[in-house]
Amino acid sequence: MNIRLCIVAFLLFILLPPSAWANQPMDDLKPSVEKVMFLLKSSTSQSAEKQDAIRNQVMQIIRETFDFNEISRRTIAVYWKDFSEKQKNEFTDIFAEFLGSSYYGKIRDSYSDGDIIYDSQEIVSENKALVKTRMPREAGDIPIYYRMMIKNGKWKVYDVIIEKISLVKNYRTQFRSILRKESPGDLIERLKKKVSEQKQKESHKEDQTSEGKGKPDIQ
Amino acid sequence: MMICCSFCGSAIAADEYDEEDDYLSDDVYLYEEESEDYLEPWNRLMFNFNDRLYFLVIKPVAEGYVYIAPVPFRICISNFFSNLSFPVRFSNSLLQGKGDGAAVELWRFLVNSTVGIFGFGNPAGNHLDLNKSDEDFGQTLGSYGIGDGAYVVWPILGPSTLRDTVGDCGDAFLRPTFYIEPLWASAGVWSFDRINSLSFSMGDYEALKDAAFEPYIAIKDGYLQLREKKIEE
Repeated sequence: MNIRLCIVAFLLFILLPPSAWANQPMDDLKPSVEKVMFLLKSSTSQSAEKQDAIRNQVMQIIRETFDFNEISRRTIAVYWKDFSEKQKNEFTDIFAEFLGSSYYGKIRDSYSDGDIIYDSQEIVSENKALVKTRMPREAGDIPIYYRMMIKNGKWKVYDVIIEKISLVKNYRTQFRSILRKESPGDLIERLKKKVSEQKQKESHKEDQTSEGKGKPDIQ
Repeated sequence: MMICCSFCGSAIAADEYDEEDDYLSDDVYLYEEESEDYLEPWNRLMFNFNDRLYFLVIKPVAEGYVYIAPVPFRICISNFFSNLSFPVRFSNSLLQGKGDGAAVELWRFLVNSTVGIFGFGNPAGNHLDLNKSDEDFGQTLGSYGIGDGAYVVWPILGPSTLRDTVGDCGDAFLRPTFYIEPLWASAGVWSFDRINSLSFSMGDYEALKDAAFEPYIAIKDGYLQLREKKIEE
């Protein structure tokens, strides 16, 4: 069995400012992706400060496109009530930072020149839709689906399904295993630690051309 | 709770939207009860072993292979091995009553073996738009209602379930490479196929680990989700 767990092929979408109150999800998505891809491609030949500025721009776009409140609630699930209001906000904020920067880094490093193919969009209920896309890769396209929800006239992503695997569900399973034994505060600390590790890795990567300098990991 | 329309035809959309909303209500306790990881100590041991094996052995070998073998060559190899697995996909499509899938597989095999020159090419996929009916015996058993059994991680082979392991053993008899003598040659060919497949997804494992808080759980959940979806389809 060949399991291609390409969980980090997370794509970024921007929402247009709500100019039309009856937007189709894909109409909101497409220009957004294009803008982000443009930004990412242009960032590779820039100075460090410029790269930072572009990164901030992209992160801003990510935050506007993904509904991190929904994502946070859905990944913490039954344990959400154990979080204080402050912890809820803190978690949402850091998780957004973590996800955004995970995928920013990955997309920037390894995105191939093929364009993302939009296959279809389906409105599946009053406020939910599914947009199907494909990312071309050498040995076969990777199907990437976006679950979107409309709130206040804006379509936002609340789950990404890569190669049939739902990210929200995957994180929910991980967080459940953690929150069984640790407190919300502990989880938030872990998140913070992960984010700072990410930042270190990113600054190392900028000096290197090849990626994937992993080390064996002891559980 | 939203009743989603089941006319949309997407297996993902149809049933999971309702399930997803359940997570938001406080009194749903462990709605998504995971099946117990009965073999967890063994699994975690194997997970660590495989992790080390990957970084110390498999990854360097794969990187070396990528260095010397250009993409078109590797794609040809991938096509070749994929073509050889026709009996597996064909039989299991039939066993699941998927006549269309079986027919597609047959056409793919015939076209790719002839026009595609012994399977190194993939004209069926590239030009005739005939896509794999990607079935295996584990999925067949799953479609008959047989549950996972237990999640198990095998050394080298990676994650599986009891059912899928039985499935893989069954499928092995349908693979021509299984019958190569001596045993080490057969294993060598198998390894070559795996390294070749891996060569297209270098970096994915590392990225996955970076994005995970509990890599063991992330992989377990990813594997189980994937199998569940494949069986549903």
